[in-house]
Amino acid sequence: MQEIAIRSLSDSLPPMEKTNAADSEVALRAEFEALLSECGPLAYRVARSVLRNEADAEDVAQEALLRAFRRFERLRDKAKFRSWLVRIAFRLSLDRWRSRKRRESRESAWMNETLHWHQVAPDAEFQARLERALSELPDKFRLVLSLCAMEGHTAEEVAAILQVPPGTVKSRLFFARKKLAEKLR
Amino acid sequence: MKCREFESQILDLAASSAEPAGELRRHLSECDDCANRLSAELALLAKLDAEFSNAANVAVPASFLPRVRLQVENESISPPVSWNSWLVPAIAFSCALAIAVFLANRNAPVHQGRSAATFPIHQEVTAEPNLPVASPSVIAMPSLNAESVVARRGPLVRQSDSRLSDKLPEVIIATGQKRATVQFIRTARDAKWEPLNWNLHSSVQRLSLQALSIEPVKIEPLAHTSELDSNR
Repeated sequence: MQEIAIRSLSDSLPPMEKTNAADSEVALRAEFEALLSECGPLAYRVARSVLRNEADAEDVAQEALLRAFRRFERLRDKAKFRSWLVRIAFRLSLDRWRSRKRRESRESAWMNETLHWHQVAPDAEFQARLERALSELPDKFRLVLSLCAMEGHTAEEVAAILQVPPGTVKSRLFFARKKLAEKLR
Repeated sequence: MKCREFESQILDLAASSAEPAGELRRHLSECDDCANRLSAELALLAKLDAEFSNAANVAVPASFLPRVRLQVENESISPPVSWNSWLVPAIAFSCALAIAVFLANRNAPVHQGRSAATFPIHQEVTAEPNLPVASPSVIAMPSLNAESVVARRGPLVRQSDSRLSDKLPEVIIATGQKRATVQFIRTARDAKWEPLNWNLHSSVQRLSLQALSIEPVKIEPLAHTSELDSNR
């Protein structure tokens, strides 16, 4: 009985603790690796749908995944990883998109002096109006638009990603489409 | 007129991608304008959907995930936030706040049961030449110019807490009017005259002795007013 007690005490000694910590980190990394394969492309697509630029989307999605990894241990419910990652990627994408817009508006100020509006291609004009309409749309509606546009994403799946009821997704999608149509009409 | 009634329904129908039903369906089959309007809306929304679909459904570059994996391998996992990392600063901040509130309250004037208006900090006494001190109910300040008598309180003195008031209210008197003031104070003390109302429009001001707390004031000028006594 005494021997067992001594052995159980020795289990809690510092070297063993270190081994346990290393083991848990290995397990955590393996868990993240599995989720990365599953959710990494989703983060990229969210970024791509907001930024409409491959290089920027890669940068932002990578940053989102790294941030998620750094805080992975703090995420208590790992089942919410997908939703969490989508939000991180979307937020970072919006930040990048807004800073890009600011830069472009500065540059276009002097471009407009030499380029008249009728010289702009109709498609480019539509793109510009769409960008403007999107910037005026609330973020939550914009995210629903992006997620619903992805192939294979039903309203129920988007609801599961965003952790909201499917009815909320449908109403947000309806509102977003209507608002955009009003602005682009 | 009827087309205008269906206008908002047409826009809602286009945005919801649903099929027309009921009266709207009948109207669309009869009215070419509204049918064209719906077609235009649907075309616009289809263009929008195509834009979003093109942006969202792109192939993920083959190099993307391997590059992220490589970066993840070089990253370290930050330890979870422990309770004391936020609790200790929160407690320290609360203590600092409590001390600041305590100090602020200690220095603030407290008026127990009386409004601050009853205790003017600065009051001028106007001149009323040589009224006789006949009755204790009417006392006037003889031969005093404006600004010659000033009742003043220190900013840290509490009005109604004598234990804490380390600075007594003081009456500042112009040097040439010491005699008159001393006479006034003496008469007021003998009469135990305690009027509390200040009539700012009257030429004769009744001083609130209680407000001025003249009683605790050491009436030192009395010791130096032998000339006053000899005159009497």
